[in-house]
Amino acid sequence: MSEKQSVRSDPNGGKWGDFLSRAGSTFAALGRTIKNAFVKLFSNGQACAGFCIIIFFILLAIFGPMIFPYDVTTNFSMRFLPPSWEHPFGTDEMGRDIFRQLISGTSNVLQIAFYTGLITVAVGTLLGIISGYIGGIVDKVIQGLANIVLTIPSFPVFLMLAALFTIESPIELALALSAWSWAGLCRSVRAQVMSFRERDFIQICAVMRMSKFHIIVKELFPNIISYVLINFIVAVRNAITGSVGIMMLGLAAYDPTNWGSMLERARNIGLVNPKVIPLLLAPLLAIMVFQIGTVLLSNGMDEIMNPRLRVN
Amino acid sequence: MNERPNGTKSAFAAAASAVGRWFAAAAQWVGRFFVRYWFFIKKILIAIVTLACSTIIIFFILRLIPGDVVREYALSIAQRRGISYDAAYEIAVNLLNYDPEAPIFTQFFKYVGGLFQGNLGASMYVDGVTANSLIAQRLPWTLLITSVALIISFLLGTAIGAFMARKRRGVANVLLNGYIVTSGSIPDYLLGLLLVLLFAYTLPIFPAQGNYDISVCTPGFNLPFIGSVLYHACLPILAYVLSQTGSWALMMRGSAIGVLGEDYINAARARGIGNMTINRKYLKRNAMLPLVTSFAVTFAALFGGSTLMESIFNYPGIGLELAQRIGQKDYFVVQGIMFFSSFMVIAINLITDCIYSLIDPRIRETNK
Amino acid sequence: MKKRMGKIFALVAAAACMVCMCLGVMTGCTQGAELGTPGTNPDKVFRVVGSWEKTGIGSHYNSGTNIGPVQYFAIEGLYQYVRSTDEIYPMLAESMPVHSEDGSTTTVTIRENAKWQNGEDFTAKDVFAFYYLNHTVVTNYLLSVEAKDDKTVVFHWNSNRTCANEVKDLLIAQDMSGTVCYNEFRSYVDEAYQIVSESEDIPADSTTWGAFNKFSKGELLDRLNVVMDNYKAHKTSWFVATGPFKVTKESPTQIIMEKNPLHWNADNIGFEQIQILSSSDTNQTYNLLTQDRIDYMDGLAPIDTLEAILAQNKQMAHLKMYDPGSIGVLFNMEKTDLWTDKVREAFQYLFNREEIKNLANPYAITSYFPLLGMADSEAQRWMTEEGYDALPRYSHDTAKAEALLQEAGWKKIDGKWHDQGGKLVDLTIGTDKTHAGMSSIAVAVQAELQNFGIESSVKMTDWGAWYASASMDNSTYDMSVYWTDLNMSFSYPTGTYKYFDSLMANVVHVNRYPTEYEIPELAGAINEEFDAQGSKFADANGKVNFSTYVNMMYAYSGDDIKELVDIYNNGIASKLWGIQFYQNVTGSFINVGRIKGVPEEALWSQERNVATVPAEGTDDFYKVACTNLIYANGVAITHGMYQPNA
Repeated sequence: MSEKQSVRSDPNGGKWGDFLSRAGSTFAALGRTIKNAFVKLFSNGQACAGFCIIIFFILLAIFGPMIFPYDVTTNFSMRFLPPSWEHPFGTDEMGRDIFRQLISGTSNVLQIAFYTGLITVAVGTLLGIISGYIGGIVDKVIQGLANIVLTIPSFPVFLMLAALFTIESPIELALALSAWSWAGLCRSVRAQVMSFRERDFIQICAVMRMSKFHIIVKELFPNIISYVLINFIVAVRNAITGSVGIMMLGLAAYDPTNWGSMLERARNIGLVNPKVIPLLLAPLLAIMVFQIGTVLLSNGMDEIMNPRLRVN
Repeated sequence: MNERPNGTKSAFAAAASAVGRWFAAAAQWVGRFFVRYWFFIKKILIAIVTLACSTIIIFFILRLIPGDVVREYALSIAQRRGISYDAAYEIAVNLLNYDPEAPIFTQFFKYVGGLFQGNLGASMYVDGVTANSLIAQRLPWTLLITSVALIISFLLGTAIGAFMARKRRGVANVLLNGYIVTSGSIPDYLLGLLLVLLFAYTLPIFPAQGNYDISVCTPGFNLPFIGSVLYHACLPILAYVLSQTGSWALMMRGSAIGVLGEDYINAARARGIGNMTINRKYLKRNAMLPLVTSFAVTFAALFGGSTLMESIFNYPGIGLELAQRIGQKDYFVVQGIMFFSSFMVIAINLITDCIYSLIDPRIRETNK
Repeated sequence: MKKRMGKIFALVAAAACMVCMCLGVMTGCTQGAELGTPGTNPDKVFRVVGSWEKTGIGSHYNSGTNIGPVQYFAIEGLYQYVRSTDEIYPMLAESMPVHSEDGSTTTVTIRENAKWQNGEDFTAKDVFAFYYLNHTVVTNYLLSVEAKDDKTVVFHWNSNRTCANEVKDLLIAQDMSGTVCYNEFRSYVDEAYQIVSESEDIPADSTTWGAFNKFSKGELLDRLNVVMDNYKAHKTSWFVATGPFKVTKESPTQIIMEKNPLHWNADNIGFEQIQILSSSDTNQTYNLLTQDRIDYMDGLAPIDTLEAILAQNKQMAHLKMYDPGSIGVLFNMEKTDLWTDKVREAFQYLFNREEIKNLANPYAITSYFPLLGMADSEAQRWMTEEGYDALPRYSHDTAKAEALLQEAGWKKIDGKWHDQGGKLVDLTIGTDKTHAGMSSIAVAVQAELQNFGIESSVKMTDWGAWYASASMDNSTYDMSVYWTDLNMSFSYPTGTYKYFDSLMANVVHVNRYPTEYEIPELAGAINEEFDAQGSKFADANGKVNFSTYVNMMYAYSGDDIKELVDIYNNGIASKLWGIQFYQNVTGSFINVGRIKGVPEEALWSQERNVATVPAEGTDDFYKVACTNLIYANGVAITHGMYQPNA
């Protein structure tokens, strides 16, 4: 959209037009890059399938609640209804529709996972690049921090943090989860950057006295972006495993429709009760399918980037 | 770095003539020792600083948790003994080995003082229970399950990975790939829950309770006991193996494909060395090397235990114990156990680092 | 492309396998033997589930180690009272206590054949030792405990701290006095006795409370603390107890107890062994029940789970009994702008209490009262008929609630209620997530509020975090879901009032005397007045202050106590501090196939899920309460009511 408009405004000339045309060409370049990336992505079956699954869940999170709004009204006499057309997965212990709960919880689960992935990758990559490229005392401090974080076992710390804060929003839980996950990424990004630092093209930039900021943003970052993307997906996957685990222990059940909270409820009610099985299986399957999506996507991207891994 | 030994050397060389030869020699030896092993010394110093920082962090996070220990303990006593809350409160105050009024820094220095004597911390609820005794009682059970599972899944996973790297077509490959993706997509504790549901509840083949059954055996070196322990360990080990083998296979596959593309493999092929030999002598060994680091890291992480898994199997390991103590706010024990697991992670990393650098001196150079 | 499809197909197949595996779980169902088969318990074993200190149960009861269910089978006092019914069973004592005419002494005779588990005789000296090392509530009313001879104990009461004879019995019955063996703890007992004797007497006009009417301070108090600490940490070679079973084997997840042949009632106890299992969550516990791994568990399960358990284990029955406490909503009265009288009244009408009760515990008894400081069954027992009838009751009437809110100045704009200041009402509801009933209520309350047009959010934390946030000054919680009243100990009035005073009152933020009040006994105490026009307890203004009688109720009995409870309950109810949703009902799972002597046989032989709660005062009321090991601490086993179906 914006691309076309800017191109059309080019003939008007002047500074403004020039800027727009430059912006346009940048957008065009970006568009090409994205298109190329997608072409690459869809050339790999695994990545394609994984991508589709994830897109499906994102659409479900955005549009699902509009099509299937979730009614919180409790109704004792309607509890544990078996699956039917009206209630595809039946109803829960308070007579609410499980299918709609699952959809309503999707956005919560995805938000936690997405924020965690974002924070982990942003912090991990930034510190990794800084640490690897600038080196010296900055490097030592950052690596020291990463070391400390990697040393303390994460799950007990989650237990403590969950007791410490009443976790109320996806971002808070995401912060708690990523507080312990950036360190590993930081280390591996640093290793990557250190290997690039010795390469010719970076050395030349340095000789040309380009600014460090320029080198990092324009030269280094594009070279590790694919690696970072894979790690983003891995971080998302770990965030789901972690957040569901925390919720299953009942430590952060602020959203009762979150898949983890549903699992916890099913477990608390007792799995000896056959009526509770849909409440266990529905979120379990949702988690599995989504996780299969992330595994396929990250494996597929790995294959795209390391062509040797490819099956044929 | 290089100036320091030179400095010592020259200073002592001047003194040598005055004081005596042996002293200079000793100094030289110390100097050389430092130069030679500076890398290790530095590593150890960093490890100590890291450990100190993590100790401080754990200590203060614990103190920030809201809630009144005495009050909570009083409630549980009142419930347990069927007495009024006020009476229970008095009992709770008398029973607790904890002074909530004590300044936090006094507590901290007492704790650190204890660490230097090897006391990781005593329970504030029960006399005679310390972090040390808990670790001694619970850690072996955690390690029994997790290390056996780790070894099995490592061996199985690397075998599968190597196989998949060599034979990249066929039904077996597709099936194995399916397994890798599925096992990677289901969190281990949910897999454990399903296994319990299936093999302990619906089909009561395996127990889902505890580490051994005292109604059929007495702990000690006897067959019924060992049998009972193994029987109870089956399901948790199965859960771990099922969920971990996939990731080892994936790692091994990547690494093995890398090795397969190396020149020496092609050279070996060209020389007419058989596939079996290549597989055994070249492929597996070389592909496994990078995985050994991951193995060590994973092994170090085992010392923290796995709360969710142990809770699902009601297995009395260190992770479950730790989670329950966090719930009780048994501060001293929690920080002790956490200190211990941090210590183990740091120590194991340190040892792996040192072994690596002994094997490969280049690492020492690049790390300077 | 074909290969890719194949791979994806394989994935789908793998996922489908998992689903099938799960479906297999759904259809699975264990079958038990038919009810009433004789000889189902040939080994004479009684199996229970519980939690205890996994590192070991320690060496004596008063060390503070959590011994869990071991308490039911190994620990005894002179008497045992039954929670919720206040019935008293003689244990180590031969018969009920004998009170002197003037009420100054009470004499207890110990059974001739009462013995410690190590074979020593249980004597009056051991009771003496217990009371001087454990200053329990009863010692506040005592001058001394005297070991008159080997088997006779005399309690000397303090004439300044009178209490009714029935309360004296209950106070003595509350103590696990068979836990200190004098010969084992002699040095601590003697020193503690000496310190107590040397301490200052509390003057007659003081309202300070102290064990044996003594007040230890300074150096004496320090010495006493040292003795107590050493006593607590004292390690013995045997677990000091008198009960019918002793621990023989212990692992972190299991305990096995064998019968103690020396026990005073050994001839009547049919069980040979007790097995205790542990469980790390409710799901595991329910499975122990369905798989016939345990014979007994106290408490409830969610209704459908309970039915599933009984359907899968055909020998299991479930009996119901009153829990002397109610659950509901507590308003945070600190928020004076929000919780005006009208708004609080409107909230009484707003909720469908029947529905909320069903969601939380369908077997419970719906209450239509506001918070009144006492559960329904207890109010019926301790109030006069007129007093009970005078209590306000609120039906579910949303129209009335709307009218009252409008009177309070609230307005409904776009379907959402706004307060008198025109601000959107958004309530914060706090609760304890570890309590299944409370968390269900919180969710249901939020749903009903939303349908009514009031925005709210629920904050669920563990008990400690909830209480810390709810009771702090300027708390963010507008209301909390918690017990509105609860009796931990015997039912005689003040139990629930004192519990309210210690815990719920801080969440409600009732008015209190300043902490530097001129009368030190009242400093920090609740300062709330109730209408008591025409009563002999009323002060000059016709009022009764909460703190005036709350510590003295044990002194009253008969009509006096009823009159006081009338004033208190009606007074608290008129304050509208909260809403009672229901009086809780709990229960016990019992394997009636393996165990003989379970009460209500006429009912459970028809329907194993006995839904009726036996009415107050009936024969079953007392018997069923005894089946709950928490309520009666193993009386059912010790007195031989339960026998194995061998």
